[in-house]
Amino acid sequence: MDDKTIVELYLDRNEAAITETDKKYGRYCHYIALNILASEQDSEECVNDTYLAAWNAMPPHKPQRLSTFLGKLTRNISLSRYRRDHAEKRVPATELILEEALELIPDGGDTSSDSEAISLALSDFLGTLTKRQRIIFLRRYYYMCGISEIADSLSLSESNVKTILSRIRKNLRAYLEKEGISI
Amino acid sequence: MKNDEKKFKVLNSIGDVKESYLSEADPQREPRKGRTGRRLLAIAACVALLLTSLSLWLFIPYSNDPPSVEEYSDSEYYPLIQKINALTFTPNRFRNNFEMLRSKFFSITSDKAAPESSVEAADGATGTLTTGTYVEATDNQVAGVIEEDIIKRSDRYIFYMRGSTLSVYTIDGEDSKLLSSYSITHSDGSFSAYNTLDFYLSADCRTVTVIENGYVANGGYLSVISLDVSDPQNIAEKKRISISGSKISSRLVDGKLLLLSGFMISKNDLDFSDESTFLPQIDSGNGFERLKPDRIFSPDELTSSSYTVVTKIDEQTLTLEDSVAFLSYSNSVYVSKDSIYVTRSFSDIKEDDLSYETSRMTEISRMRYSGDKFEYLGSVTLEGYVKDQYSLDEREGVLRVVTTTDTRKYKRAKATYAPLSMPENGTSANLYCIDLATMETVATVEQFAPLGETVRSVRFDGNTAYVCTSVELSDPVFFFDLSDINNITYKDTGTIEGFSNSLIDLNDGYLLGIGVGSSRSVAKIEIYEEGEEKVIPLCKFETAGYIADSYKSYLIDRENSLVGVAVTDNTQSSVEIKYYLLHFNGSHLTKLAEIPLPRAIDTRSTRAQVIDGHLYILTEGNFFKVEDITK
Repeated sequence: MDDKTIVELYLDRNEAAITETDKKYGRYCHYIALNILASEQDSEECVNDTYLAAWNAMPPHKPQRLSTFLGKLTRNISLSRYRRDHAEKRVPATELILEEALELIPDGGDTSSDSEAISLALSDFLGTLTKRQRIIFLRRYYYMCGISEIADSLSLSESNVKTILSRIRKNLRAYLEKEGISI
Repeated sequence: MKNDEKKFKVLNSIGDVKESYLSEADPQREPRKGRTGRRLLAIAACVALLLTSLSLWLFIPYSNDPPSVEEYSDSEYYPLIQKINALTFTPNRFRNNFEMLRSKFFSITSDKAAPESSVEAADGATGTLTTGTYVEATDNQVAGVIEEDIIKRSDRYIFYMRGSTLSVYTIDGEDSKLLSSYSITHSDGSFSAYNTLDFYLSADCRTVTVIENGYVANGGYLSVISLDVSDPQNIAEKKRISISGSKISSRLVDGKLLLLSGFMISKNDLDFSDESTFLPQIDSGNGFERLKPDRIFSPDELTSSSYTVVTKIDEQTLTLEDSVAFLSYSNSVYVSKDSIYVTRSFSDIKEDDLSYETSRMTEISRMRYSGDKFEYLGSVTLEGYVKDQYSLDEREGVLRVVTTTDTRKYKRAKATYAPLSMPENGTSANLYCIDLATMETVATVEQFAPLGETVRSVRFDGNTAYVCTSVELSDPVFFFDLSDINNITYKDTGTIEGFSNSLIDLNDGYLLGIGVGSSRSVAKIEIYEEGEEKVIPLCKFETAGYIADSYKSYLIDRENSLVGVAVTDNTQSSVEIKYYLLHFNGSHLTKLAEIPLPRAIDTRSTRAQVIDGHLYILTEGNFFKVEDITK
């Protein structure tokens, strides 16, 4: 079923929307959650919460890209869960990504920039990258993929992917500092 | 803002970049036509050549049974192997290779097992200077059960850890100074410590025992490092040992270090012919050995492929005396004077064709450590999950536990789930009393919190339990009378503004709450007392900002009725952090000191001590200040 029809089911409050969403995007949402939580059970719960959140959001929201919308919901729910539980339950792969994220934070700044300004700056910076660099960056820090998975999907070596990510982090940090963005 | 919050803020902001970029990077996205055309041509050529055999390979259905492990039936671990095999087997989502190839882009990485540990020993110099008499700097939950911390002291020196650097300060009022610093390093460079290291100071103040927990690229790794501090100006490493896994918690009791660590089984590396891939390894000085089967406990049905390993180590010699393991991931741990209680949270699922219900449950396992060897004494399963170690307390043969209950129901349509808002969905709180002789629940107070609230903080003090629950920015605080568990009664404050992340019992029956006030940008410290009919908020101190939810960062001095906290005020144009020292005189909270702290510090690392009328404050960034509070 195409995305437009699925969204219409949500707007009509037809519960078949959930069935169709699960058929088309269930694995996708599970993949995103599992990358963060590394637990089948927790991932299942987050995917169920995603459906509930999507049901509550539509209407009035009408996403242009359903996959991106669902992916963001799952990601946010999974990150919140990880953040809530991570003092007790650390996932090494996720902890590594969080530590890498620390390298993106620019020095200085007493006041944190608002989230919209940070996202705009990030988008602008991503626009300066090549498509491949952008894909590598977002697969790592948005889709929370492992290095080997990224390398495999793009036919690169792992060390190549690590080097590219390291350079992007360094350049991004410098870019944010230049733009006066603080976190 | 704390580093942890910044990391999540960065990741959240990345989620709001241009949608076209996110879509472009989507792993399930089809490759470009040009590349696809070339691949299809190659596949078509292969298919043309191997059409018949390929078709057979594509459509032969997968088996949905776990692989056979009969070849290990002679192993003494065979029952454990069978359980792990069943747990780690994931029935294929696809029916055959054709469906699997269609979704080839969803390859998922798995965690790796911890690397082999190494044992290093270093002979350290021993000094002859006395380092004074031990003074407890940490507000331990149970008297005599010392908790790890980043500050310890004697009557002569304060030991404080920043990152992996131990600093020693003299205690000399306003003439106090930094005496020495010692950085803890790893010789092979394959280990990095992500957080500030916790440690212990021995009763004779001559030894500091550091617990180093960190991550390498493929797993967790734990080191216990013994430092000779008998001459604080010449600190030297005496010995270190390493254990596979990552730290959960630790305690020091009568010179014995109780270490709880987690060891995860990696599905990718699992090989039942290699015991190191599914059994925790302990090095007691004679090379790595696996735990014996009778030292491994597991529930009948596994819900986690991670072990909680409990190890007893002699503080002075770092000799491993005993180890046991639970095949379950531990959440909170409570340690009483003779037992360790390990908790495991899981979801209990009930389903039929029409509905799906999931309830959070907690299994609590008890292990006595006071003998020569650990002794497993049984488990109990309760509804709900515990917030932290303060949610459990052992007294006179009864274990008291407070949980947040969380049950959700979904209406089910065939194999998927449609969300359904049902009035009975939601969280509340239960209090349990468990007879430790039988590990059975003998008393329960169910659903005492308003629906939708969760437990924010718990404290037990003798026969009284204090519980704060809230949903957002209002809470009741409950006082439970547990003197007769057959007739448990309780009072509460009713709904009041704010909630407490920590509840602390003060002398004379007063209760101190530290947390949030009327909004999330108001920090609140409040005193409660028990009235005839209800619990009464007696007095409070509020200021703009927030207090980190980190109990050990609070100064609690019951003897002098003092409380100290660091408050981060981010309501102004620039962030300000101040340390407040308050005194409770039986009716009011009075501010004794208000001291600016450096900006951009993590207030969870702030520690303070009141010694002979002086307030000593230590934080990140080498900040150290002494203030005379008698003036």
